Amino acid sequence: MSTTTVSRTPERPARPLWRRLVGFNLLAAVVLGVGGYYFGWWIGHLVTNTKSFEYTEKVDENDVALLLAYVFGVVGFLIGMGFANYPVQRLLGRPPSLREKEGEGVSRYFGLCTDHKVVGIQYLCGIGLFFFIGGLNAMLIRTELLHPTPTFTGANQYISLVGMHGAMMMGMMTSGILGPFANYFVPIMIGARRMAFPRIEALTFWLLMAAGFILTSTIFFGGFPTGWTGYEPLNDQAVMGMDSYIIFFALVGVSMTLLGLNMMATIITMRAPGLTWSRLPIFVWATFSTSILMVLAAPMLIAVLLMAALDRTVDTTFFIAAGGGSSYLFENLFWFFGHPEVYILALPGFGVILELLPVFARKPLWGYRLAIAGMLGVTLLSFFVWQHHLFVSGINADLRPFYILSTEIISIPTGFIFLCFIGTLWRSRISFTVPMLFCLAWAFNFLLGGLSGVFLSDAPTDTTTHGSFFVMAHFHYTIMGGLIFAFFAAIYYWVPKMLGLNFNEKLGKVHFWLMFIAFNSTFLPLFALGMEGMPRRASFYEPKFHTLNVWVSVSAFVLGFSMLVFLFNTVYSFIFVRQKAAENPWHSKSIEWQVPTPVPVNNFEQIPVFDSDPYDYGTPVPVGAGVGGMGGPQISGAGG
Amino acid sequence: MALPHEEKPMGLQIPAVPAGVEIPPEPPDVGARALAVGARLLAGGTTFFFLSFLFAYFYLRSIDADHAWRPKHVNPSTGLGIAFIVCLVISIVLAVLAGRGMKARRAGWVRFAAGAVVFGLATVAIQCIEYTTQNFGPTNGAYASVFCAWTAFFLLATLGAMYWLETQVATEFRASRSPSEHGDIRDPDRLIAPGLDAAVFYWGYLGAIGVITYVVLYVI
Amino acid sequence: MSSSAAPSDASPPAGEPPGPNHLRRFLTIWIVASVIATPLVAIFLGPILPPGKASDVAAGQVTDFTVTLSLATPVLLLVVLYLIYAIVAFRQPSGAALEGPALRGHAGLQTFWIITSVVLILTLATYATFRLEQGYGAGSGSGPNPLTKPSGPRLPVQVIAQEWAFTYRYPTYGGVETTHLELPVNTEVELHVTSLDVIHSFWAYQLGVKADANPNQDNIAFVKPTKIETFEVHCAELCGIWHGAMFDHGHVVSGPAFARWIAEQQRFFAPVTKQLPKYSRTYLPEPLRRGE
Repeated sequence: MSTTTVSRTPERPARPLWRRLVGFNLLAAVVLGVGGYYFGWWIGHLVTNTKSFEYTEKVDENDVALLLAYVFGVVGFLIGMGFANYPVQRLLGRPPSLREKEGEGVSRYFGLCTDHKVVGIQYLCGIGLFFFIGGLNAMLIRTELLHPTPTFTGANQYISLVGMHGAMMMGMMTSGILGPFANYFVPIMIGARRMAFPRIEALTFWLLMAAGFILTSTIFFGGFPTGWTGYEPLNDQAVMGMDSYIIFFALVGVSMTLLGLNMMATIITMRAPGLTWSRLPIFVWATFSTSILMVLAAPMLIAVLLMAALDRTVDTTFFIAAGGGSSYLFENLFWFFGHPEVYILALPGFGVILELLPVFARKPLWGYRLAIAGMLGVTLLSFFVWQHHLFVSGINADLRPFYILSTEIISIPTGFIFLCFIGTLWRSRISFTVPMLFCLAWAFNFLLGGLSGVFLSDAPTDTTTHGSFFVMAHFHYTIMGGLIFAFFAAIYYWVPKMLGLNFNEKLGKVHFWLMFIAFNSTFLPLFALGMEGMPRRASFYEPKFHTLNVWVSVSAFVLGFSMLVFLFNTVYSFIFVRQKAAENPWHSKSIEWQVPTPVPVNNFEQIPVFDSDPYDYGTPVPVGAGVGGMGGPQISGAGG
Repeated sequence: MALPHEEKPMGLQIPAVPAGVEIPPEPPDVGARALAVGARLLAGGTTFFFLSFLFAYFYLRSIDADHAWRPKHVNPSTGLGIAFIVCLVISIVLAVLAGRGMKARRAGWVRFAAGAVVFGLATVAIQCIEYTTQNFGPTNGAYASVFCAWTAFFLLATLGAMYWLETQVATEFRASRSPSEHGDIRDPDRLIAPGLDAAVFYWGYLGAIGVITYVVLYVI
Repeated sequence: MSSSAAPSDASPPAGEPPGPNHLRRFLTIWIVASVIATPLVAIFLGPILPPGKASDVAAGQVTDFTVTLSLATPVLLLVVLYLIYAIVAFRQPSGAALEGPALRGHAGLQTFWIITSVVLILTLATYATFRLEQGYGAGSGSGPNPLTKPSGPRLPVQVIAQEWAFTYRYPTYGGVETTHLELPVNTEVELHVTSLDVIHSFWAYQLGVKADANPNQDNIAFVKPTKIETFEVHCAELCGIWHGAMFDHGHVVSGPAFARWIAEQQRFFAPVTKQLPKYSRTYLPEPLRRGE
């Protein structure tokens, strides 16, 4: 879209250090972010003191000040990063351009960069950091649960840790696969050189980082007692740490909306010639359906959190029964976002698994169209199931049969994904590489997660399982077992292309087996604990659950240790061994493996022309010769 | 940073960037389509954002908890409401006329667009006057809460849309002053047209939401 | 792209050595395993499933768990056995780089899978709906006006949740409010669950009852205790710091024992009962918000 090409001087003389530090970069962003924070804090106190909001006189807390501090802090951070430059230029009428800071050495990884490959690597490191913080919270939670009464962290810190772990994982990891891998590989897979809105792409990343930082800062304001769901009116009652949660999740919502919008616009408009919808890699389809959910569901989250913020600051009464509000309103709006949210987490996992499977099974993806139907079906249906989270709440109790039906119907498209998994493995030639091991484990984990979900979608069995450790085990099987296993499959599969260096395979296998065994050993007993009557998020439990809880905690520590193995592998392989990765170590036929390693700045010399889908594996089967019953009439021979 | 590429910096292998190699620009039609698609997706997201407030309105109204939905004295000013909706409709009509004028390559479109911005900002001003003169605050029941929050966020969205329209007007002004620098920017198929098209679509859509806002909050 | 019909079980394509018939082999393994495992699950695992048989709704939930688990067993076995079968039978020989057959789908199998899953899901949903309405909400909180109600006399008991304790009000016994829940055996009980501050959830585990407590909302659950025993009461919705400590025991006792207990409570709490607000289905939170 940029026609007025700004010609870059070929070789710029090295600038002095002070000149490099002054300008729009991370340092300026941090300085302006901190400045903005204190400015907002000051304004907040000024406003509340002059207008005399009733509660600030009585409680030693000022939510207005903290919320404004966060908002101004984020705005300052973004201005310092350089995000305001282009909008101001446009305001003054300068012509539009897509280019900003592409290709300036190492420093571009620490600032605003509109190269999608740089943003992908930024996401991988940033998300990884917060993933480890969230995991550390989980370790502390399990340490506390070694004893039936709170001894290690105390009840207050325990609740905050539960909330931080949940919010960190549900918030930051929504972009866990889309952030690093879709940003990096979707443009390459569709034969494009950049995203449709590269500046927005960079913005989503830095917004997410600001959000993660704000959530972590909740520990300075007393934490928050609501868990990741932030239910009202507990939300309204909570101390100032709650404001961190509200701003965190609202920023995540903005980041998600923009990420989804950008992905969809890119996939719709920037596909290379010949890349029809029926030739798209299945990972791109998964990205597309996830993006639909992000664009439509996340604004609802932003809205409901803004209502909560108004309830806390200017005393609106959205959720306060005595002022005409209702706690049900929050539950409705939150879960209208919250259920699509869990599919925002699950769908990219489907995409990664089905994308990797053909490579390591040496077979085409079986049932390509069925897989697409499955993903789009999940996308559509996930908007119609939210009240299954509220079966015992007394909200619209007469509508429960509808939500039972819609929730169980959503397992039909999910079943499609499993059928494609089964079909692709049929008579395949499996090589047990590290990514493939994670793919196979995904099937087992997600199966258990899905089947345990049936007990939660049936209102009669939900009566006992709701709000217990059973739910906790269920969604850890679907999210950790589904998303995180797919996340690691993607890391072991794609990072050699992204960084040009190989992982140590032995250490990778050690990581896998430790993680797989410890994961199941941690969460399988939790089903039993939940069925035996242990509520979730409780720092007190009955002594009869002690043995099982100790077992779970010890398994969780092993699970945490497996992450250290991964970290060690990363450091060992990328800093000490530095074995160069082959251009196409997995012999994949997908286009991202046909470009050089590391990927050049412009991706392709020439825009490629596609004439088939990327699943051209296997020896051809003569027409009419079904193999073992699974090779009859083909209904999904896309691009053949 | 001037690190030689043979010594690999840090733990990562940074792809070497030969001087002068840049990502080539996208063809203009891709940018135009991306803007059109982006505006429609943004409209989708905006719909769901305001849907929350619509839902809150009808939900809390139907519950009427503690009979605190709407105390008798909570009534926004009818006159300001009518002024608001009139300005909104005029602004949208002007924006649509600007979009059509641009497509027909009539030079006068920019005046319509500027008018749309002025009337759009007038709705914001009217809403602010309403806040200072109304005889209730956000605490006076659920209706007052929905009213204040919904109009405030609609006001912010309006400001965003006005910014978008303004960039088109400003680009046109600058390009008409120094045509040599901006080359083909005024060609309807190139840069301003897709941007204006997308901005007009979004403002029209947001305006429709504004009409619903008015009907829900002032009329029923 | 659907082409000519093919024999579903033909010989392998030319060029490949004739291998075992994987389809027949796997289906045999799966069917045999399901036929053995499903009754075992239903017979041996069923009776020990939660929440026990202390009430009509609890017993109903045990049945529901058993039915669902029995239906899930073949599905679980299908995927798990298939995974094992694939890992064993479909390996890449070491050192080789063989390709699998280029199969891209099978219309018949896909249609069969879709129809089977639709039938299974509809069965399950119909069953769940039937059990829910026939069981008067199956022990779950069913809102202020439940669709189906048990006929005959019912003992109303109000559960009032607040941070961080449950209290119980017996409107038919002069509105006495106790700190402890006792219920007579074999009596239909109508629990009205409400809250004085934030959302809680009343969970009587052995009775199979769970109902959220919302401020200014009445949430009704029906239960008929059928066994004299002690049951656990938890809060099942995060309600603040001491959520985990919101835990108590309740008792199901015989009719005469209940009459004695409630009379004693009425005497003991008489001075308090006078001070209580009039019995009401819902209460507004007090204080209304922070700092007030």
